[in-house]
Amino acid sequence: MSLLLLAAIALTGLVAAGLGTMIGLGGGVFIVPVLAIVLGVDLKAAIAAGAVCVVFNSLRSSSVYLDRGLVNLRLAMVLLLSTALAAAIGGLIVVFAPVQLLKVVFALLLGGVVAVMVFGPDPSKARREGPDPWKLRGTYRRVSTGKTADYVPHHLRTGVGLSGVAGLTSGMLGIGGGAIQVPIMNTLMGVPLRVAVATSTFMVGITAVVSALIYAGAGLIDAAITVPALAGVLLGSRFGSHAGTRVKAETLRTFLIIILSILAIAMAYDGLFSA
Amino acid sequence: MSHCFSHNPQGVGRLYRHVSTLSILLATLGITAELHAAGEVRRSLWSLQELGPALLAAEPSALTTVGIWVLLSGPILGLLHLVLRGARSHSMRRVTLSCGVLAMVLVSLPIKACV
Repeated sequence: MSLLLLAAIALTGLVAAGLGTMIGLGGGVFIVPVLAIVLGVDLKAAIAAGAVCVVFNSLRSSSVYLDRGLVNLRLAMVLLLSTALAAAIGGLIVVFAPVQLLKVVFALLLGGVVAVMVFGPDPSKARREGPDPWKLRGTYRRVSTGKTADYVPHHLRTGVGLSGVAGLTSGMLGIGGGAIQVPIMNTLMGVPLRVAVATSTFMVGITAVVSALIYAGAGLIDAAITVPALAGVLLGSRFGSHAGTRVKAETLRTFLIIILSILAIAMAYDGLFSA
Repeated sequence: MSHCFSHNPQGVGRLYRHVSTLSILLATLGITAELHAAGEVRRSLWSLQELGPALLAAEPSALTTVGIWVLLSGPILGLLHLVLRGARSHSMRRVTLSCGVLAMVLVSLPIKACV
């Protein structure tokens, strides 16, 4: 593998993590298709590299969220029971499924992310009252007022079930699954958005490590792809968190919708029509 | 989030920071040494059985593999930390939940033998 290709992979990780951090999606949803479509990396190796990058990004980001007390660990553990199991199933599907099928599934996922970005629900308000048999009630500090407020997660069974979809997607496609997990927690379960993002960030590291261990066992982790991508992710996530506050959110959203749409079409075309 | 399973979550946060820093240092050092020594990078990871002898032979790519394994051990160590914290504070629910998730993660290790 040439130095130029290693540099291109690092640059991919940098740009993907930068963009992902700016919009709060994580980098996997960009890294995997760009590695596969633009750089011609084998999709299974790209998925494995994506999963390892997700673990790395999750450890870095959730360490900050944990220090700030934003992660609802009990809720994370309850949801992880289904997410981790589904991620293992997803990881096994990657090992055995044909690449063309994975490309089509990935294209559908990218289309879904675009649809959520265009038509998705606005952030929901936290729900403060209701039954709490699992003692999942938490408190958080509101940014607007600086005061602490309570919330109680609702619809736990549905949340656990749907979290399995996030885990399956993560395991199958080497992405974090935060794009699915955050709306489940915020819109369905009534968890405040900041807590949902922090809890999801913590969860995706554990979810991704389940599938990454399966990829490692199947020999799918390619060090020459994974390590440069990791280095790029490290720099990109720092850049993204700074740049995210300076770029107009609407401009960034439109740009990302266009990029993701192009990647979705390219991935679908590749999956359906390439030999 | 005082009553929300968050007994010293900073412990896990600190652990995550150290593990991620160590892993990227080892992996980057390994791959740089590989490029310097051989001009190319070994693409597959060393298996756990081969890793010890490769490290003893000062094989740079073994360092890369160690870096990646250290990273993958991070979430497992975090879960172990939560289990131990739960056990110390006699919270059976906390221990049960963390053990359940830990078991799911560890189940994916022997799966590799089947694939």
